Amino acid sequence: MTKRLETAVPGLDAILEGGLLYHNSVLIKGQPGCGKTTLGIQIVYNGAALFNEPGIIVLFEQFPQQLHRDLESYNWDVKGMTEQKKLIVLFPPATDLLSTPYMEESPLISNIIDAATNLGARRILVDGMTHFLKVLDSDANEREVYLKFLNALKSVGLTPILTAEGSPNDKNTGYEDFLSDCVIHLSNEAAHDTSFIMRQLSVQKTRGHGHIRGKHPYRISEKGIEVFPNIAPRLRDDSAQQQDSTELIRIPSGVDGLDNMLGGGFTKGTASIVAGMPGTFKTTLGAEFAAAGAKQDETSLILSLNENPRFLMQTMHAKGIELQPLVETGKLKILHFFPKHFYMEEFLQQVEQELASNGTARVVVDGVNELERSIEDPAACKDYLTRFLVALRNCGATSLFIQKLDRFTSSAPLTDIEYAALFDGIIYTATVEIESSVHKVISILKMRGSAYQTDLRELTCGAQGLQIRNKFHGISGILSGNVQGQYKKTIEEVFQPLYFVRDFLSMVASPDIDDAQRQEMTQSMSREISKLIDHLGKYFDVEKP
Amino acid sequence: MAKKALIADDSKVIREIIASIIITVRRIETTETANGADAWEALQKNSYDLLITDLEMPGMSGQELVKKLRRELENTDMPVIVCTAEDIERYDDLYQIGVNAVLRKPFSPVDLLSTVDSLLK
Repeated sequence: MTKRLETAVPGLDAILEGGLLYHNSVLIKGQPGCGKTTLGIQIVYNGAALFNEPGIIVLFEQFPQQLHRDLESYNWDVKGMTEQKKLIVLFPPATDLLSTPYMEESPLISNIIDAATNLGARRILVDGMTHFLKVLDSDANEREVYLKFLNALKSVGLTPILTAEGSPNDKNTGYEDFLSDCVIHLSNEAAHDTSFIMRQLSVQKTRGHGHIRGKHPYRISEKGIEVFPNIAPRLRDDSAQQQDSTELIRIPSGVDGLDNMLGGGFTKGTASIVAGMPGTFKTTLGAEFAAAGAKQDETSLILSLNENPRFLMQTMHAKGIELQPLVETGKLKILHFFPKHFYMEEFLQQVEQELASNGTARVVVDGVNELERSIEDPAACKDYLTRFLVALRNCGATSLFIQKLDRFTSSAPLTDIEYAALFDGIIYTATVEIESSVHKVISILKMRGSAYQTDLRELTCGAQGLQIRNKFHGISGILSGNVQGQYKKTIEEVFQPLYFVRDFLSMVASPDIDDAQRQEMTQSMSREISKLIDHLGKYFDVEKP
Repeated sequence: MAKKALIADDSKVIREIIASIIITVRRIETTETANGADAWEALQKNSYDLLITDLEMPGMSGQELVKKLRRELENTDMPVIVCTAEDIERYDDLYQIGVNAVLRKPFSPVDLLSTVDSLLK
């Protein structure tokens, strides 16, 4: 493979499939303020600082003081590099290039050639091409000058990097796009319905090598530009490993009753979604799951997108779930990301690094709604979730994603859970009204590759955390909000025995009844009354009425 | 010889109450089943003088049971009493499929006895 010119701009070489090609001209285009100059300087500076490839920076539109002031915000030692003769910065007037009839003889070109020869320079940034081209008369002339200029730079072994103003949405492709070997677009546009500026880099072309298509978000920080490649996920091939262990490993959920419903806990390495209305203990369930892992010395990670860690710890403390001590032992980590203020690629990259470095066994993502909101293109959410799930799968973590459902769902809640198909398991929680009182309920709708209980259970939360109660015997239609069973149950188990005893009491005194019958009737009345007492005791939660 | 009745109801309480009433007061022998399918099996194997059934049961409902009974069994004259907690707007539908009497839960044991008496005359 041809040796590549590594930009060492985080993420960019991956997008360029290894880097640029030496002597290929690069055009960086973008609107004002999107970091064209920064990117150009960073590529040249990195060459000098990291690869011993001296560089030249030509700035048409700036004064030296201005540049040094601007560069102070970055961790780059431009001054040191220039002192070590690894970098030279030129600030020529634009007219320098055309001050003679033969461009090759222009002071600018000769300065550059001198510098290139003296330093042994390999990389050059020529910033402000737009400005420089404005001094020219006509389009035809511009094209010719541009080409000659590039060739002059290439002829002395330089890899030219030029910047120009423009937007990827421009209908008119300029000649500079055609003449350049590589075109990189930078854009900074407000994200949908927010004031958050989305910075995105895209590669329009790379002559002689491939690149990853699509829009890749980037940030500008003191490190310069950092790009987060939007790369399709690749599932690690662990089929050999899987063959060794056909037995399912169970991961306790942290809630005993739920483990019973799950047939022993979640299956190791699976991703499940807990979907339900607000206030149905979804976050609590996630906290129980993470805490249970941390308590048995597994590393757990909570990615909290809607609450800051302190608030989460406080609310869970009130429910008897102590997260803080676990955080202090380092077994539990709570990371907070503010929705809309992060890029999915950046987020995923951080999560992937976190998973890889800590051997994380359990991950809770709270929640899916916030992830959705941070993604500009809603249609892309599924792709990101897929990539997320692949990353989790690759590291063998068992995960719970929490999704808030906005409305009371129908009796077919699966259709309301948009990403149901992506997950191995689906747990549904809801608030229901039964006989004028509100209950939280939980049900397992899907658990791939594992037997599970399908019935609806009551979910309660006290000072000891979450508890799963008994089944709702004889009640149907809870999810549809059309509860009928309670009525039937009350009729059959309370009123019917009372009617029975009432009538038998009057019959027992009747002369038509013989003694044997009388005795049997008394016994059966006594039996029914006892059962009724038991039943009412359970109903009113009185242990021995 | 004592008459025989089959009771089909998913509520144990109801089955026992019905059995208590008709055994102690009328000396009718009873067999209890908790769902329509078990009742159907019992009906095929044994002969009964009376069927007392619920409507809403897991698996085969009371309506299905009665339809099958009237369509597939030879002893189609066997009287059928439906005991239901459901608020059925039109009992006519039940009579059309061959139900002889309907009692709404909670029923009075006196009403049950008089209904049984009238059907087993």
